[in-house]
Amino acid sequence: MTVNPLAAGLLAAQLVGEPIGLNLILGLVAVFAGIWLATSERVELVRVAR
Amino acid sequence: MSEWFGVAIAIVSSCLGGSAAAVTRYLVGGADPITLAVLRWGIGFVVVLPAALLLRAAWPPRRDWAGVVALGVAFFGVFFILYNMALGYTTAARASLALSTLPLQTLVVGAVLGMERLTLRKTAGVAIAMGGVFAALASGLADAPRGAWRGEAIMLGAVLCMAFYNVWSRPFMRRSSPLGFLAVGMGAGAVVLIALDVMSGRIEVLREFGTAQWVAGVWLGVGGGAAAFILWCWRCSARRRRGWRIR
Repeated sequence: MTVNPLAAGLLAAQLVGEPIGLNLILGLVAVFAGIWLATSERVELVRVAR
Repeated sequence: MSEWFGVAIAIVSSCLGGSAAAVTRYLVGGADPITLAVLRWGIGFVVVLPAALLLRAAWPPRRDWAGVVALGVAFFGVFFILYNMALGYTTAARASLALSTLPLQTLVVGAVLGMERLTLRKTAGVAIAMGGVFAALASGLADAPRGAWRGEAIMLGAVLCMAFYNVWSRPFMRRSSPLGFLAVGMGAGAVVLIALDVMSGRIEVLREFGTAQWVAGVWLGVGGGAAAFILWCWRCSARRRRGWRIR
């Protein structure tokens, strides 16, 4: 999900000339950190015996 | 499929979703939110349905159809009208930043519905991400379009709806397949959107589209609609086939 705003920002800069500010990059870093913190505990994947 | 290949697929899918936000922003001046949703899911469904048939996706059982259709209309209809409305007010990057809180909002909704345990670590993750997004959006407001906060508020509200969709979809997907579930829901959403667009006469705006707008519209449907979601389904199915589950 954190790649989505990056792709959106880069293409929008080309298509409609929208700026990508440093604040957006910092916001993305916060989202990435939050997702990592929350999911690194939750996602304990195990292979189910078949 | 190796885990790294799976991550690559997820990144490509996410990039396609991001490109759709930029293309929506490009088109939003010449078309209303419902017509933009018609382009994305009407064209998207034309690609997804043959893919589901060719790949012999497992369809939802008859008893699940009402639920799958209702979720499809809520997501592909209501959510994407709100998504397109949001992009009428704010930039693609700012709207997508609000959208990127989806996994964390899903986690909170899962906890509220009793399907997830919200530990201290998860709560901290949610707080860091949401705090960072609010700080980033607020600090950049001076450089954003006038009234951008409206778009971001609409997007955050829409993401909360999508979080409920994510949680409520799980049992339906388990009883069918991600692609079968997606195709039925997308088809239902597309039918409702097209009906609304035709009845309101908004669809007439497509007559004014030039070549550039049609190229953008087709990309919205094929890339941001069908391809992004087919890739997401592929990753979900591969993980299921390999017998992975979350403990």
